[in-house]
Amino acid sequence: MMTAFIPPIRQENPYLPFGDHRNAPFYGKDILSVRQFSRQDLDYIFGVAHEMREMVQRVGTFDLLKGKILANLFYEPSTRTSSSFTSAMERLGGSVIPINEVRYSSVSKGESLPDTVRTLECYADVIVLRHPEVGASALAAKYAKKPIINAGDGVGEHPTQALLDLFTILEELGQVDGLTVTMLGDLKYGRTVHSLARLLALFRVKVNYVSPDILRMPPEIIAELKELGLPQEEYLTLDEVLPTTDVLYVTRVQKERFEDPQAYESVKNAFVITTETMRRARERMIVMHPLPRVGEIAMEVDEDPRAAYFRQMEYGLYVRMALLAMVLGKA
Amino acid sequence: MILPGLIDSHVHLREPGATHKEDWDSGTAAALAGGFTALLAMPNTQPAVTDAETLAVALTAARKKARCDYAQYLGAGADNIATLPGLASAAAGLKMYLDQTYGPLRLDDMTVWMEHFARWPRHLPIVAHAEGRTLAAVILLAALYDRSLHIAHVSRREEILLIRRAKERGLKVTCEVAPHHLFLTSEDIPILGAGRSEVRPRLATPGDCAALWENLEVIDCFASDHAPHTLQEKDSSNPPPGFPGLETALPLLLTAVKESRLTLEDLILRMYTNPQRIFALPSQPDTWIEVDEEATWEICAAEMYTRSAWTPFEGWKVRGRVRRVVLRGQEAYRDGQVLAPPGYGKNLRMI
Repeated sequence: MMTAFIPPIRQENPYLPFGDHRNAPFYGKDILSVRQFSRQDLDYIFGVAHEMREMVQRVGTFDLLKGKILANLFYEPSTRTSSSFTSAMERLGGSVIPINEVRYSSVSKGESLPDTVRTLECYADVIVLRHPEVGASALAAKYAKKPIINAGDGVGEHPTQALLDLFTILEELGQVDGLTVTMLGDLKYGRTVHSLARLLALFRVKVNYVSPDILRMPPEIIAELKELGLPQEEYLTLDEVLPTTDVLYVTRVQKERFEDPQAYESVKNAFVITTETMRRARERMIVMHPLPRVGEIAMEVDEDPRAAYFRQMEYGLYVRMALLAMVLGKA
Repeated sequence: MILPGLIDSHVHLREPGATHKEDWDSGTAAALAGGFTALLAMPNTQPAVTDAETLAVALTAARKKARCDYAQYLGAGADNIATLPGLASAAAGLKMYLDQTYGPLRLDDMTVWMEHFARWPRHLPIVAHAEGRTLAAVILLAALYDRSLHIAHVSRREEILLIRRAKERGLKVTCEVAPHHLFLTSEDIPILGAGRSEVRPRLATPGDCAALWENLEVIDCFASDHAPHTLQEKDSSNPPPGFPGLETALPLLLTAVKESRLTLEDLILRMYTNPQRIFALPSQPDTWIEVDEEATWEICAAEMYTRSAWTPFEGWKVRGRVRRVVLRGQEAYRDGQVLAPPGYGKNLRMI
């Protein structure tokens, strides 16, 4: 009875993320701005990041990027970001050329950024760039043939931070749609909240901004996100919105931002999270913070299971592992 | 409390062929009422979904009547080995019935299993109904063909321990457990009655049930195995196996969360994250459910949407109730009313 013609077995993609995925959407691409991502892109990135999380929890490391080299080009110090990328690369079996002290390199001799990246890409497969000037990563990407990952350019973008923030919400609460996200603190200068708000605009969420009057979310960003249909409300205190908040994103209110020290003294306590704050918050919610914190969240809150800010760093590792694997055509 | 729209990877909708038990309309309404925004429909209908023609029949009914999102499984047979791979990308996955079940799809010849393993696309799911030693056999095939395999409704201690070992060994084996195997045992058979307690796999011993709870981390998904039959059929001299489960799964499991038998994270992982990943389903944008986690209520079949009009959990006091379901930006359910019209549901394999 088994005489019917049976066609040959089709070769399909190997099990994600362990194999070559050169047709994958991010192979060879630069990661420069949160504006480049669609909802489908995010699903893809977070799907791979979730696989990375499972893999790390099960076996710790996997030689997906064995033989690949990452150049960590840091024009300003950022221990967390550079060590997160180093850890991500090494957990996947790759290696890292760290260039953290640019003053010892040709840069101090006046070499331009385009020249530096074109030199480095001879030795590396992917470049992670941190630079104090807005637009530096786009400039580097223009000259480099290999993928550039923006690890922060001045007050501009820090897309991997925004991605890890969103991935934290997704992994901690299961999904993003339907949630109420409250951003607290310095919303004027905090680039993390700007980038996160832009990503949240891709979802069906409600966003509350709570800040001192002089540190409000810039009106041009509010207008931009309103265009995209993101419901946003501004408040001066947390009390009103805390009971309906699913994600409380805390940022640092820096004393230096205030011209009048008294003005700082009068508002600072309104933006500190304590166990008393947590008592009034939902049973199921999370508190996030881009870290480092300097007193915005009391130490005793760390014991609360809703305090997600240290787990947030760990999620950053998985997102960076995912991005490295993706731009190198392995996921 | 806001949760993701849940995904049920194991649902029998009975259409085509037995719409007096359930159909794509009533079954998907029951899914929404139970907090599920997506379901994967099993192929053991009448006729069974085993080729292009029967798949088209099922998907036509689904397109007209489904209120939530869905995908349809194909059933593995002895005579469709060559034709199924061509239909694979339109289907939820391949279902292989290797043990006694409801319907005619059971496969005994192991060479047929091997042919299906060799030919079904590697990146698409295979789901097996395999109990006891059959389970050991099919896990061996997954290892030999180096591909992923999902085990349906695990119910016994030996099975969950075997799957644990397979996972520890690195085999790409995943599994699901049905709520009735977590909350009912063979000791409930006298209470329910012989006919009403008929289900495949059978209700297992309290020891088996305890083993499932003890090995919770091995369980990838909770799937309802919603298998509706009418009470008249269940109480007849030849009772068909199966329980409806779409509207009781979440409240039972939320009650277990309240009793600290599992965490809410455990639940979300098994009712949303893992099914989405294992079955490679697209995410449903602008979709979530709202649950009143404190609401205490009594399970009552008369209030349900399933056409089968009964439940083995009648009268159980549970905590946690679905208040609202939002599916792709539209309110699909609110406080007992299903608002999504028939035809609103989308085929997740066509998006």
